[in-house]
Amino acid sequence: MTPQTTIPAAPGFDLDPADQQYFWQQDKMHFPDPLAPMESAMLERSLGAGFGYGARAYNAPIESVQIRTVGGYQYQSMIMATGTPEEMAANGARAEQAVRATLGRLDELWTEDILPEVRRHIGFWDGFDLAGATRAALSSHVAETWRRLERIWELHFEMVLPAYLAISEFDELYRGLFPDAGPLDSYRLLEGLPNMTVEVGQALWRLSRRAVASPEVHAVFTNHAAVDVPVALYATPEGRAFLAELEAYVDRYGRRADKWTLLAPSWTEDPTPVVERLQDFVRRTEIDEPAVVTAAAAAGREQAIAAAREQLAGYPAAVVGQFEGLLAAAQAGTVISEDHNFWIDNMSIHHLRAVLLEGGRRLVDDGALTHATDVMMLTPEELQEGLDTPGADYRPTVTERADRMAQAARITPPPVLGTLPAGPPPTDDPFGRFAMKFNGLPPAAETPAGEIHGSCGSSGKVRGTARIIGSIAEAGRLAPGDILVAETTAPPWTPLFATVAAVVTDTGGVLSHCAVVAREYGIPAVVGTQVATVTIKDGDEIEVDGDAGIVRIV
Amino acid sequence: MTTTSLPHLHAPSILWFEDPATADARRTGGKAAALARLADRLPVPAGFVVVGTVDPAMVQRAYAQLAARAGHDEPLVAVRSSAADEDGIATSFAGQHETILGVRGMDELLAAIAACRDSAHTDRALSYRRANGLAAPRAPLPVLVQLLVPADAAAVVFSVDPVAPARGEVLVNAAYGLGESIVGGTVTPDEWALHRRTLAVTRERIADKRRMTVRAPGGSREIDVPPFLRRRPSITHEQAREAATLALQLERELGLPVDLELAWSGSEMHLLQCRPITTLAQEAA
Repeated sequence: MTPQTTIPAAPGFDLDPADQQYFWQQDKMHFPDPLAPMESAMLERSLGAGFGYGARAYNAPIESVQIRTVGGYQYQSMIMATGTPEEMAANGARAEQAVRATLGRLDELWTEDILPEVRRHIGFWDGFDLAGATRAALSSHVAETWRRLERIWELHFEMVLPAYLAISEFDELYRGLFPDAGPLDSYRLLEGLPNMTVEVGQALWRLSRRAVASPEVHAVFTNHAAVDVPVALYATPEGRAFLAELEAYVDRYGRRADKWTLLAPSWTEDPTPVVERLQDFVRRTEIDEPAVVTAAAAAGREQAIAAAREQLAGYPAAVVGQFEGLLAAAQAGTVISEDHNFWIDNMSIHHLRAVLLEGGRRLVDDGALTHATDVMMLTPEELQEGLDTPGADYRPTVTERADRMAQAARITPPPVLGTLPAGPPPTDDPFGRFAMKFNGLPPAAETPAGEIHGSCGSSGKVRGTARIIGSIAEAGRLAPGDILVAETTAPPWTPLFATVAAVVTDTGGVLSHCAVVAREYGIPAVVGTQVATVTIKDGDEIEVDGDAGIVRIV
Repeated sequence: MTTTSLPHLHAPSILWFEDPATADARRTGGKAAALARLADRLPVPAGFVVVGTVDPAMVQRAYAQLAARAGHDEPLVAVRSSAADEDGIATSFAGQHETILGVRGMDELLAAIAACRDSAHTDRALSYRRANGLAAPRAPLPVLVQLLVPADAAAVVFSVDPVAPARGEVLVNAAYGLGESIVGGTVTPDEWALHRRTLAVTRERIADKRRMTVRAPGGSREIDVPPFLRRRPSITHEQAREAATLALQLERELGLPVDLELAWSGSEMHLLQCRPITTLAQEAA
C-alpha cells in the first residue's frame, strides 16, 4: 500500500483535526471566489447532502461528499467507501446494475419524475407573494425554502449522476469499439441536440433580429451603453414594444445569474448582461445564426452515427445492442446535462436569493442591516432569528465578515488540503471514469516552454488574441476572432461562444459545461489547463489545438 | 502408398468440400479434409481448397461460385492454411500457420492465399515442425477458403476435459465475436463444464471478457468489449448444450476425443473446425 502523504499546511487554511485525514479540493470550476456565509450554508445543504443522496441511490462506492469553507473558500472531499476486496467488488456490481437500469430510462426519469417535481417546487416559489407576506408567513417560507432546496438538490444528483455516466460510458464504449477514434470523436454523435442552452441562445438571436428590423430600436442599441438601453427604449413607441419583448425574454429565461453564487443578481434583477449580448448580435454581422450552427452540428451528428453504424455491421449483435442503447442514453444525458442547469441550478439559486433578499429587506426595516443584500453575510440561523425575534443589530457582524471576504479575495487558495489519496482514483468503475472526465486530468508534470496542456474540450485548431475574462461583465473586451480565456465558464456565458474563435479554461474536463457548449458551437476548446489564466497574458497571440488539448503561446 | 496415385503436387486445382477428393488429407491438408468429411451433413460454411500453384483465373471462378451461393457480390471469407500433416492425430498445428479473416474481393483473396503459403516457411512454423519430427513442407501448402460466419459469439469445445479427463465432462469456452481471441488467448473466455451423459451444466464461470475479434475493413481486428457486456454470459446454456452435443456426436463418429471451433450468427451454429485432441491421443499411444 502507498504511504499516505500529508499536504503541507497553508497559513490561514487550517482544517479541523478530524478532517485532516481526507483529501480536500478547492472547486475552482464552480466556486472561484470566496464564499459568503449564506453561500456556504447553501452548498452544504445542496451539493453536500444532494450528492450523498444521489450516490446512495445508485450504490456508488462513495460514502459521502463533505463540503467545508476553509480560509473563505469552498473545499470538498469525496469520501470513498472502504471494505474488503470482495465487499467492494459486490458493491461495484450492484452500482453497475443500478446505473444500467437507470440508463435504460434516462429520458423518462427526467421528463416524468424529476422535472415535474422540480417544476412543482418552482411553482411553490412563483406562487408566493414575497413582498406582501406577513413576517410570520415569510419566516416559515424561508424555512420551507431551505427544505425544498435540499430536496431539489437530491433530485439534481439523482438525475445528473446517471446523465453524466451515460455520456461517460458511451465514450468508453465508443473508444473501445473504434480504437482509431480521436479523443473527441464519440461526442460528435451527441452534438446539435435541442436543449435549453441552445434555446436560450436562439431566442436571444431572434430578439436581436427584431431589434435590427426596427431602425429606432437599432439606433438605441448602437448609440447607448448597455445600462442605458432600457430607459432609451422607453422613450419611443417602437422602443416600448421591443422592451416588452425583452422583458418577456428575461422573464422566461432570466432566472439565472452570472455564476453559481448568491451574490450576483439574476437577469430578472439586472438585464444588463442580456442587453450586452443583444448589442453584440446587433453590431456584429459576421456572427453565424445559432440555429444554423446547431443545424450543422446536427447534420454532422447524423453523419457520424451513420458511419459508426456502418462499421458496426460486422460486430456481434450484443455489441450493436449496447451501442444503440448507450447512444440513446448518452444523447438524453447530453440534453439533461444542459437542461438541468436551467431548471435546477439556476432556478433554485435564483429563488433562494429572492427569498433571502426579502428577508434582508425586513431586517433593513428593523435597522438590523444596512442593505438587503447584506443578508448573504448572515447564517441561515441568524436570518431566522432576525425575522422571528427582532432586536439584534447585525451590521457590525456584516462589516467584519465582508472585510474577511475581501481579504480572502486577494489570496490564491491552495488547490488541495489534507492528505493525498493513497492511490489513483479507481478507473475501472463507471463513477471513477466519469469523475476523471468531469474534473479533468491530474496536472501534467512537465510541459515544453510556451505550451499549456489541458483536456481536449472541442475539436479544431485556431489562432487568435487571448482575452483573459474574469466575469461576464468584461465580455465587451472580446473582439471577433478573439480567444476567451477564463478560469471557468458558467452557463450564462454561453452566448459569448457565438462570437469568440476558441475557449481555454483553467478547470473542467471533456464533460464540463464549457466543453459541451463549445462543441455545440463548433469552436475549439482546451479545458482544465489549471494555469491558463495565470500563464497567458491578456493580448498574447495563442494557438488553441482542441484535438491535442494544447495551447501554444506564439 | 505410392506418390504416383496422386496428381503432381504442383498442379493447380480447386477442390470443393463436395468433391470426394477433398476428403483426402494428403491433397488438401488435415484441416480441410476433416471439414470436407463433415460438410455434407453438418453446418460447415461453404468453401473450397486451393491446392498446387495458384492459378488466379481458377481462384476467381471459384470465388464467383462462392459469391453466387452466398447471394452477395463479394462475400467475406476466411482464409486458412491446411498443411498435409496438420490437425492430424499426432500433432496439432494450432496457431502455427496463418489464418486471415474478413477477406473481401479478388485482390485481397490472392494476397491472403499468398500470405498463408508464406506462413509455412516462417521460423516459427519450421521450428515447430523440427520439434515434432516433421520434414519441411515440399508441396505448396493447401489453403482453405470459406465463407466467413458473422459471429456474435464463438466457442472452442473439448469433448473431454484435456486437463482432467476422468471428470467425464465436456468443456465449452466461449466469448464475443470471432473465435480468434479465444484461440489466441487474448481473452479469458466464459467456461461451462457439462456432464457427458446428462448434459447438465456442472460448472459455470463467467469471465471478465475484455477483448473480442470483430470484422473490420480489410480483415479483422481485436478491440475492447463494451464495459457493460464484459461480465455477462457470451452464450446461453442452450447454446452450450448444443455445442456439447455436437462434440459428443463427432467423438463417437471419429472414435477419438475431439476439439471443435464453433461460431454463432444469431441462433445459428456453424462448425469451423474439428480435430482429435492430440494431447489425449498421445497419452493413449
